[in-house]
Amino acid sequence: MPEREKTNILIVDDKAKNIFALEEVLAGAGRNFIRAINGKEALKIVLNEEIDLIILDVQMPGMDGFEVAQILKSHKRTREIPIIFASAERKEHQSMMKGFEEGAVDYLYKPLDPAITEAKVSVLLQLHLQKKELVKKNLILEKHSLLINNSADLICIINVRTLQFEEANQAVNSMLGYTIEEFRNTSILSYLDAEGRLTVENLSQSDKEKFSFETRVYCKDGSARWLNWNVVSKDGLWFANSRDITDKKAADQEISQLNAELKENITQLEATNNELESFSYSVSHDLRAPLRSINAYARIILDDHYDGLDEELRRLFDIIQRNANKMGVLIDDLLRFSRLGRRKLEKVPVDLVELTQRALKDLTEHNKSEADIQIGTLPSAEGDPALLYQVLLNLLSNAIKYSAKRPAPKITIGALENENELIYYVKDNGTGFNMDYVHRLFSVFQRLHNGNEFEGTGVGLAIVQRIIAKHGGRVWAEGEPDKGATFFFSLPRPATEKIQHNYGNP
Amino acid sequence: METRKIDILLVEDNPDDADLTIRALKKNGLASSIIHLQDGEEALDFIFCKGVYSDRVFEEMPKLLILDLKMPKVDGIEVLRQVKSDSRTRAMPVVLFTSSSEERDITKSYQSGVNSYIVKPVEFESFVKVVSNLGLYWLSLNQIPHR
Repeated sequence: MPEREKTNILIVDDKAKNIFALEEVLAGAGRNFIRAINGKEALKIVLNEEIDLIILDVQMPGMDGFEVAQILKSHKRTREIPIIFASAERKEHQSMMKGFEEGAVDYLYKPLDPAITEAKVSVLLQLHLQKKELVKKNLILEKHSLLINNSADLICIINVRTLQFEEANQAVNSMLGYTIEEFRNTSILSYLDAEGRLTVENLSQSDKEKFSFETRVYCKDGSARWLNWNVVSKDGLWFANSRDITDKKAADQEISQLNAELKENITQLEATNNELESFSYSVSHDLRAPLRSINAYARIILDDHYDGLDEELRRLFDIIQRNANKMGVLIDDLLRFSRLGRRKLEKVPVDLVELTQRALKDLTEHNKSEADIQIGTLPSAEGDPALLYQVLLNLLSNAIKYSAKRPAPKITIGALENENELIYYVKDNGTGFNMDYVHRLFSVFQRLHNGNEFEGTGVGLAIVQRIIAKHGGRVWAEGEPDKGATFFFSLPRPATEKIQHNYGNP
Repeated sequence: METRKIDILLVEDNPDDADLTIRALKKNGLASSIIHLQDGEEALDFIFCKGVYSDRVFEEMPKLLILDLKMPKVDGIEVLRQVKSDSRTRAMPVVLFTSSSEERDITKSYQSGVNSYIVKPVEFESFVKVVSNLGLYWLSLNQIPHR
């Protein structure tokens, strides 16, 4: 409610000259006069206006002053308005006043003495205004107390000297299970564990004005909750707000436990990785030596004793030698594959056209290819050039290999783009494959063709897959038996540049 | 112990690999003065005239040291390191001839001053070719300071 600057005084009298006379006597700063010439009008005004004092003529035609006052006193909203009766009949008031002992009511005798009138009015007005102020303050207090008691946090006042709770809100009950009465005048120390007691005792010796701390607090049922106390210290009292952080503590503990487990897992992984590394190292060194011997001595027998061997023995030694060689190639491929896992990516801008040309040159230098090879426009990417070269080398070598037996082998290298990635493809019109087995294409040692038809160990595409995955891209393939195959790989679009190109479909 | 002048000191623990290496060298007439030792410790004794080789004339150094990498007791890297850190033996060409194509082995070898790092091929024809090439290169083409 906005503050009114003036106090409203209602003067009720059936004679206008009486009203004027009163107004003259009471005129003063901050006073506003409202007039009513009968009881009905007076009640109407009181209902609509905020009235601070009523001077009520007792003898009025129709409803007299006492009747008006009775109505006012019987309504809650108007009960507190002070009333001064004005009457010419001095004797009658004693009996009539009976109903008005409570509340601010006074009596003036006509003819009015200006000094007494002013004195009574100002006293009653002052009393009324003070009472109003009190009611307002009470309302505020009531609101605050509602707020405080409604809080889920424990709000309390602690005496620093005795460390006893002087006040606490309802949260002591909802949070800890005690009643406010049980809690009041007990020491905070009695609810804490040893560590918490030490914390609080130390803080009570300090002269910090504002601080916070965490303690475990024991509930009435014997369980404990973690509270975070935020304290303002003033005049030997702590004004504390304590939040229940039990759940957060539990979550924190869970997180640190998870972290510890994670750390342990990493350590284990590192150990496994080291084991794998030394395993592959042993494979590299120790497995090749016996193979070399098998191969070499089979060869030496063939070379040095060729004449002494019949056709069948020569064939058998040849098989031994060939298989030892094959095993050597398998080991080399496997090692190459396993090394990829350990290798760190060194990303730089890469010109895919240049890489493709280089790979093609290296592939066709010793084995001339009959294929018609077309390189489309390829956007530059970001990646490890040596590894991407390996990807192109493997895909192109496959394309050449699997299309070599066609009458007119054709290989196309091209690119597509979408919002997030650059997509490259190598398309051939070779043997193709059945899409039913597409999921096996990129696994190690998985082959869709048999070794008599096409040579290979089945590691090439697995390497492609691994390299592209390390770059954050994807690989996939489309094919049809005897129609050809298209191998796609994508790379994340470089963050730094936007490339505007249009690329055709494969 | 014989102390005749030698061209190649081959340090190799695998007898088959040693046999194959010597065979390959023989095919190219390079095996006339070769000594084969079984491990790194023996190699160091030989090079620095210790133990059973204390009577050897230090100055009669081999023209080429072919080292396997993984050997019992003292490995190839350690032999390499000691040869390259002694001013009297530093000039002797050392070739690491090993099955390992691991990057870290190659790096470590070059950091220790190896002159060549050659991976032994599994396939015999390539093996013979590689051994002949390395023998011819280091013994015929390459020039080292005269002592």
